[in-house]
Formats: sequence, C-alpha cells, structure tokens
Amino acid sequence: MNGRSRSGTRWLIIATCALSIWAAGTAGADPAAGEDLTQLSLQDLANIEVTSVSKAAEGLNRAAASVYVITQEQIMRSGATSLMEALRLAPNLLVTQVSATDYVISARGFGGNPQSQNFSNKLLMLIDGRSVYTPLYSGIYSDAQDILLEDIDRIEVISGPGATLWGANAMNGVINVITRPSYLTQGSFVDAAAGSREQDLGARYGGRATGDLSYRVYGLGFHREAQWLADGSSAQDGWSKGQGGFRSDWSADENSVTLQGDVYRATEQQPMAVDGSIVGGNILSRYEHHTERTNLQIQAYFDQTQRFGPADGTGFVLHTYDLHFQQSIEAGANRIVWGGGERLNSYAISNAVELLFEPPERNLTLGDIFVQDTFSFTPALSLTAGIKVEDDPYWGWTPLPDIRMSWQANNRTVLWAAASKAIRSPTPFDDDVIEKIGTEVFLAANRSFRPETVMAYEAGSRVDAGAKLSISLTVFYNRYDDLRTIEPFSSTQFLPIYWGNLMQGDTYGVEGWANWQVTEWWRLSPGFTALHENLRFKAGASGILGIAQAADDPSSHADLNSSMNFGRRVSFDAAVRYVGALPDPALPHYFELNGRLAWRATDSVDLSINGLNLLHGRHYEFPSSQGGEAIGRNVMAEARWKF
Amino acid sequence: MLKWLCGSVIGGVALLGAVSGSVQAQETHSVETVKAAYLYRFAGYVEWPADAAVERPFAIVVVGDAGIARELRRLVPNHPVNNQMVQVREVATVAEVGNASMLYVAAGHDTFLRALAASGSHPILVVSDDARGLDLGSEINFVTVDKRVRFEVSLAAAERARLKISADLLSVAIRVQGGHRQSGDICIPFALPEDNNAACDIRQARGGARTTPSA
Repeated sequence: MNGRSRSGTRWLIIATCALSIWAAGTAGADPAAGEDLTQLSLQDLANIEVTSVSKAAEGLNRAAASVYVITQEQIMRSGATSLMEALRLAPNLLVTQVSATDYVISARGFGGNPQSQNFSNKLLMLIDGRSVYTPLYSGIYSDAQDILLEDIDRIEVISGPGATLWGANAMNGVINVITRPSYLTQGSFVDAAAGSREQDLGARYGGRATGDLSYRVYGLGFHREAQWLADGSSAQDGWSKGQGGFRSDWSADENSVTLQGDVYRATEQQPMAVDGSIVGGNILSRYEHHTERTNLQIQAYFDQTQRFGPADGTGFVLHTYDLHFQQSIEAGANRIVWGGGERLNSYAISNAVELLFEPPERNLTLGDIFVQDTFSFTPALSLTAGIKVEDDPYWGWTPLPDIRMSWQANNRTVLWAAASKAIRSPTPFDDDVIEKIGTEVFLAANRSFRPETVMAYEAGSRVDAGAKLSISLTVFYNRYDDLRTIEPFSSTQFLPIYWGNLMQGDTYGVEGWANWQVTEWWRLSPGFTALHENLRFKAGASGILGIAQAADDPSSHADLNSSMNFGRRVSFDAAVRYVGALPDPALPHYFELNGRLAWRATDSVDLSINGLNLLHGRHYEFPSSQGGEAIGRNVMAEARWKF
Repeated sequence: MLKWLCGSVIGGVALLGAVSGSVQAQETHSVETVKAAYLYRFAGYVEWPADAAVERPFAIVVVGDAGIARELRRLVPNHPVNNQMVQVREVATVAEVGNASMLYVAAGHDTFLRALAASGSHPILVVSDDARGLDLGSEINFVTVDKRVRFEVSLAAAERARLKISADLLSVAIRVQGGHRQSGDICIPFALPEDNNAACDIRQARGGARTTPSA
C-alpha cells in the first residue's frame, strides 16, 4: 500500500497550488481607499457593485444556537447545480452522496445505516416553511427537493435541537431554505450548464402586476448521468427531472400575502427494471400582519408527493395539509412568540410482497402548540425559555422544552448556552411495517414503539473580530435514549423480530467555523466538526446487529472554502473538504475538491467552468454494502444570463 | 490528472491576477463605502420635525459596525449635512443614542432595534441592515441584491417618528412598506424603467419637492 505516500504527494501539490494562487493573487493589489461616493445620486449608488464581505452569521450573531447561514452569493459561486450540493457549504452539516439520486444529510451524527433499515432521520428540513421531511419512514427524499438556486435568499442551518419552534424530528438540526420574495427577483434569468455528467437548464421571469403585487414564474429541467457500482459497471441510476413553479408577493400597509407553488416530475432509471418515477406538487400561502409591537403569521399549505417503484408496483401517494399560525409580541423586556397548528398526512402505500405496511392507508394528524419568551435582563443579557407540546399520531402528547441564554460580553463577543429536549417521532415504518421472507413473517410492527429522545446541552461563542474575521465555536453534549433496536419475539422464540427502543448513549463534539477576509478580494472560510459517539444497549436488549445499526458516522469532517475576486469580472472559488473514515461498515476517509472559475463577460452574462469532486475520477462517500456508489468527477460549463 | 489540473489552474490564475491587477480598483467599492455614502445622501431626502429637540451638530450614531463608522468619519471634514458639521458616534446601548438625528444599526443587532422600538418615538431616522429590519421598526433597511446595495422604506415607521421622506428617495427604494398612503400617491418603488409611473415622473420633474407621501 503506498496510499500514504501518494496522499502526501497529493497534499504537497495542493499546498503548492494554493500558495501559487495566493502569490498570483497578491499581484492584483488592494483597491485604493479614499474614494468619495457621496456625489453620486441614490440611483447611481444603487447600481454600484460592491465587493461583498458578507459574514455567514449575518443577522444571527445574537442567536443562542449553532447557526450557519449559507448566503445566496455563496451558492451561486460554489458551482453547485442542486440544493443538496449547495448544502455542502454549511460546515455543521455532513452531506453524503449515495447515488445519482440520493443524498444523506446529517448534523451531529446519526447519518443512518440503511443495511439495518435505519435512515438519517434526526434532521428536519423546510423549504419556505413547508416541511419536506417525509412522515412515512422519517428522513428526506433528496431527489424530490429541487429549487432554482438563483431564487434562494439564504439557507439557515441550525445544528442542535430546534424542537420548541419546529417540532419533532428537529432533533439534531434544522435546515431552513428561504427563497427571495418575488420583488427581489425581477426580470428574466436563464441558467444553462452542461458537462459529460449532467445537463441543466433553468429560467425565471419576474414582474409586477401593480405597485404592491409582484410575481415570478420559473422552470427547470436537468438530466444527471448514472454513477458506478463497485465492479466498475454502471449503476444504471441516471435520472431526469422537470419542475416549474411561481411565487407572488403582495404587500400593503401592515399586511402582506405570499402565494407560491411548484410541480415536478422525475424519471429515474432502475437497474434491470423499468424506470421509477416521482411526481409531486405543492401550494403554500402565507399571510402576515405587522404592527409596531406584534407580528402575526398564518400559513397554510398542501403538498402532494407520489413515488412509483419499478416493476413490482410498489410506491406511495402522500398528501399533506398543514395550517399553522404564529404571533410574536413585544411587551417591555419580553418578546413572546406563540403559535400552533395542525397537519394531516394522508397516505396510501402500494405494498411489496415482502415489505408491507399494515394498514397500507392512514390519515395521521399532528397537532402542536408552543410558546416561547425571550426576556432581556439587560440589552446584553437575555434568557429564552419555551415549550412545544406536540400531539404525535402514534405516541400522543409530548412536551418539547428548551431554555437558552445569550450574553453579549462585549461589542465583539457573544456567549450562549442552551439545554433542550427533542424527539424523533414514531412513523409508519416503526409502527406498521411487516417484513416477510417468503410467507414467513420476519419482522412485525411494534405498536408501542416509543419516540427516540435526546437531551441536548450546548454552549458556544461567536466572535466578530472586526470586519475581517468572525469565528463561531460550539461544544455540545447529547444524551440519547430509546434509540431503535431489533429485538426477538420472546426469550424462547426468535421470529418475528420487532423494533425495540433499547439503545441509549451520549455523544459530544465541537463545531467551529470562521470567515476571514484576507484581503479585499480574497476570503477564506474554514470549518471543522468533531464527534464522539458512545452508544450502548440497555438491559434486556438482544444486541442484534450491534450498535453500528444506529449510525455509521465519521469522527470528524472539515472544509476550507476560498473565494477570490480578480477585478470585478473574474472570480475563482475552491472548496476542499475532508470526511473522516466511517467505522462500520468501514469506508476510508477522503478529500474532495469543488471549484468554479467564472468570468463576467458582460454586466448581464456570467460564464464559468464548474468542477465537483475534482480530486478523483471516482470516489465513495458511502459504503457500497450500504448502497453507496462510486461518484464520478463532474466538470461542466455554465452560462447565466440576466436581462 | 491532479498535477495537470493544478498546473493549469496556477497558470490561469496567475494570468488573471496579472491582467486584472491593472484594471482593478476603479470599479469595485467596499460595502462600507457605499453604505456610508447612502447614509450621507439619505439625510438630504428626509425632513425632521421642526419642533424636535435634536442634537447639534448633526449626529449619526452607529451600532455594531466599526467599518461604517470609520467611513463616515473619513467623510466628515468635507461633507456637512443641512449646513451643519456631522458628528459620528459608536454606541452599544439605546440610552447612548440621545437626541441624534440618524442611527445605523448593523446586521445582527435586532435586539438593539427591539429595545429602541420599546423606548418610544424620538424623531430619529433609523437605518437597519437586517432581513426583518422594517418589521423591527426601522425607516430604511439595506438589502443587498445581485451585489448591489439597495434599500427598502417603511412609511409607517417614518410616520411614527414624524419624519417626512421625499418621494425621490422612495422612487429608488426597492420596496415601500406601510403608511397611510393613497394609491398613486407615491412612485412605484422599482428600478425597472417601465415601472416608473406618471406620478413619479411629475414629482421628479418638479425637482424632488419635499412632499410627504402621507395622505
């Protein structure tokens, strides 16, 4: 094995590469200071292009939580062409590409172990307030979540529980994708990217009907090639998708209304079988009423998603109806937020012969009510306490309390600490599933499956060391209980096995990231997370499949993003990432590199070369025994046109 | 492959660095420079109530952004506002704001905006830099769109603070929220040329008369 020396050489090359780029870059020195822009008209000021020094934590540096904000500019400069690839920009998330269609996203561990039918189910994701966490097995169908990246305003990634505000399953984190209001996406935009591994086309038009009513419509389509299996053959999982949608925003006086919707259809190749497909759509409306001291928000949405498997006819249709309201009130030193709502998940599953849901159709209702108060003892010191009570369809009322403290120690430093409880609620996959081998029942549903719980203790600090440097550091200690296990039917009879709640344990770790504006034209953003998991079976557990069934997480992952501007026309971005080895099933650690070299040909046209996973022709991010495929290097040319 | 890739990247970047070095500087500006220029310009489009007890000389207070405060101070010597010298102060608490005329609150200081809103309505022009800035009571909020610094305006907040904001300023705003205006009373706040309606053109033709857009 000469892996070590090869990897050493590789690092030498990368280091040389980085140094040379730095040296080359310093040639284009800082712009002169001392200009006077006050002679310009407001209109001229509004048209000046600025060199962005946006801090990732912008707007959130007082939040008593570990929050990373992916900005729109970061996404557009990353070379990513999908939402899942864009999520790699958050240092507190681990994004793992499994196959051409499938990604696993996790925060603070528990990325799942599909072999043991355990999925990454402790992370919640919302797109404009609409939950895209599937209630059927708990987890996220990554292939159903696409969005025109240009229209994203920001992605807030919260690692750690967010159950008091967002509810069950916001156990290890919450991803909030927020699109721009339509008044900020006016005019036409076309984006085309093509390479040997994928072709993408997106377009949007934004206009105004009247002064107060603006809208946009968009369409996108792409084809992504299949990845590879361990034997070097094609995984035959190439796929194509088409999607369209709109958003309109109306505001007048103290009221605003948003209406938005999407429809999509994708066809996914299957090895040795007819294509699978996903079809779906959603419509969401939100009403907001602002007054000086209060803000009321009422939101309703309908989401339909269908998935049809290959030849055996398996699949499901899921309809979600959701109505929520939330009001915030300023009263003296108190800032109270309260709200509640109800969600109906109505589904029908077409069962496979050996994997059945019983009953195959259900209407699950999920109600919740919450209240949270932030009390400011002084302008610098505040305490937030809140509780959500959620009526889970399988388990009933569950309290989800949370307490947080934030202290602005000085102009530059915020210290915070939090303790909170969250759960991963039972799903049909825990309570209703029956698996057979031939005609024998191998696994039977457990109607008394309990929620998996976590008590999380966190503390962090954010330091804003002037305009040039900001740093965020968080430590966490989580105590998990009632994690899912597999248990034999009884002490004398093995089959059918059933899901139990007989694992517990703790995890601890650290997350940190920084934003360093090295020069006016160069920003470096390192990020790092380390995680230690100490899980064990409880008394009476069978221990079948070992503790590895709960998770197969790396003990650390890190990334370094470099963002350079050469004048106002040329930019170069590179992001190298390291993901530590997976323990069981084992997968070696890996390094990968994404990059984008862009040239602004005219004020309205951007041309770029984007590269994803540049270091290896093919690499694994997920063990092949778990369904992981060899992911290929992906280089493409992209053009964006605004007019 | 890696060596080849790296080699071409180094070559390309070195070339770009050399080429761009010569054309750089004149066209890009820092966010702080642009925002500071805006703050100076805003003062010319706002009328403070005549009976208000405002500090003299004209005071601009900055919360949470030393870079903007530095830029403002750099501009002080040659840029009087309403024929007064300008003083720039950086503060951390609402009590220190005093009777200043203008306040800039940087991103991430929403607690400051909340505390300010709770402290009553002194006629001060509050400029914020927060996605929820207008909801939190500021009159003007910076929004960065496509690398350009734009702003939105809350007429409701301006009314509460008894400030009159010129239609010329509104015509450049990316969005105007609230206020008891009648339809057609203000320019449509959009940059797209087809959106400039007749009312807007008339106001601008009159040379930016300081009319209040309130009914």
